[in-house]
Amino acid sequence: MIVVFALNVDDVQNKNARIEQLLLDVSNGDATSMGSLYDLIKTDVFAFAISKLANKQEADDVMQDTFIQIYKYAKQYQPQGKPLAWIFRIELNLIRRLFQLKTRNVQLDEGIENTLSSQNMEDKIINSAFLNETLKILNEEEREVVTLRIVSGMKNNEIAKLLEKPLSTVLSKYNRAIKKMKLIVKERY
Amino acid sequence: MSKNLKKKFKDAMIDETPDFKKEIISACENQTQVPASTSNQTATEKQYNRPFFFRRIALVMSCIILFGAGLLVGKITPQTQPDALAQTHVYIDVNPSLELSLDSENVVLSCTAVNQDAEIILNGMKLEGVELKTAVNAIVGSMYVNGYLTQEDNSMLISVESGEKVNTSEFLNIITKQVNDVFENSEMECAIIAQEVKATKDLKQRAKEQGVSIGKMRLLDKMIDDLDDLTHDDVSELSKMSIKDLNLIYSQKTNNDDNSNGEVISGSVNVNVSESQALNSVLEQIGKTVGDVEHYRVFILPSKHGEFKAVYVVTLKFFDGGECIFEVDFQTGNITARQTDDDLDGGAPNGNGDNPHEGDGQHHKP
Repeated sequence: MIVVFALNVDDVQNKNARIEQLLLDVSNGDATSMGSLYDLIKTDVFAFAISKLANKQEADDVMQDTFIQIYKYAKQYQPQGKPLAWIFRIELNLIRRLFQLKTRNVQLDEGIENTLSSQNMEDKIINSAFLNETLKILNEEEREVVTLRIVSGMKNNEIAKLLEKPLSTVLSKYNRAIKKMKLIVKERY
Repeated sequence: MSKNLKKKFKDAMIDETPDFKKEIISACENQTQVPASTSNQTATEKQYNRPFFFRRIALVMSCIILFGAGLLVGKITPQTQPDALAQTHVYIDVNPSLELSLDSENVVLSCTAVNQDAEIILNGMKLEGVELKTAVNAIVGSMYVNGYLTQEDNSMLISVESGEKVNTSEFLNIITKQVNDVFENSEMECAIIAQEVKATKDLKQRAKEQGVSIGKMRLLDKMIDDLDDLTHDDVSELSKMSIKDLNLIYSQKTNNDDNSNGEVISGSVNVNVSESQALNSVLEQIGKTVGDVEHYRVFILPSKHGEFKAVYVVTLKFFDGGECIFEVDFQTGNITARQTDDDLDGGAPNGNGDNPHEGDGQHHKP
């Protein structure tokens, strides 16, 4: 168990170091590095967007805008070992502006079921259905906490800082989310 | 089970992640080769601007016309004009923060984006050489179009540092009116605090340390001086608060006493929950009625529990001698923290369980 945890931490640290290097390359105008950066963090960026918005179309748009903003402001990034927090802050700003611009009636049922793409492979279909149900059953705060922790491997205190919430709130949201997700798996998968 | 669950969730996210690599690289290449496009909007915003299009178009057009007219009739001054000629400095904070330097005839000598959001607002606009009114139209219009000024977030802080020849109080009224004029024919109203500021070396240094504008630092200083609950130890937390929250707190103070520091307060901050709704929300949640209450007060303070944001503080004293204090969220009416005295133990309301500081003994006094 300890070994697994240590490997996970190393993975996250290696990933962060790689992102920082790519941000540096991008800031020097290296377009191919932008492609590598995209490959490395596309799921983190997409997952955070969909956890906040619960709508694939909106998440797709925010994802594209986020990468363009990363490119534009890469020179302003100051390496501190936490590049994902900087990237998520850019993304969060875009999402907040989106919330401000649109009417605040995010219809979860409409948003998720109609938009998540179906895939041919059985595993992917099951995964997609599981994700649909998960996004539906969790509230926005639970979705974002669980996504940042599971998909992006962020620590609880980093999540608390990013989302400007007390650490205890992050912990309780995460625990509630996991309980709800376990129920889904137990009942249907 | 838990490990499989996490893997399942992560795999699902990986499967659903779309591939926009080519589009993004192409868009980024354009970013480097072509200066900012004529539109300030991102793809995300464009999608959601449609419902607002017709409401906004009149405002946008008027801004464009005024901006164009200003360019034609305004004094066009060289962009390299030395800052030493500046008679007045205007600092505008919404969250985008920017600074204007004006000459003796209120013509813009320079316009500087203080943060990333302000760069989005300016987006290549050249305001040097135009009159103040034209610049205010362009900036405020862009803030509205870009979603930084909305019905929900309608607060603005304007800070003015003027030379000896300028009547500051008159200038504060003029610029406040110019901002309000932008929204003259719309339902939108700005809640403005316009204040005088002296950009001393000390103020600049402290603003830099906190990562805020000079104007916001000055407002924080005034709040700390005026509100007994706040001390200079709170400044780093206060600096994280939005202009809206600061405006809520400061406006309440100026409503309650007439000893303002020469600032101009205009408009009111929009909140979802009124004072009376906050009171009723608390009473409802603790199963009491106004008839049970001997005395109550509702006032606005920065929360010292969890997030540092403005909250209603509701204090209640019951006929049975019990007292309690609650913090209520402006947007939801939910109780975010509470403190009850021993007499009310057992009958006291339950918090939402999220707040680690519940019942930690901190007690706000108005």
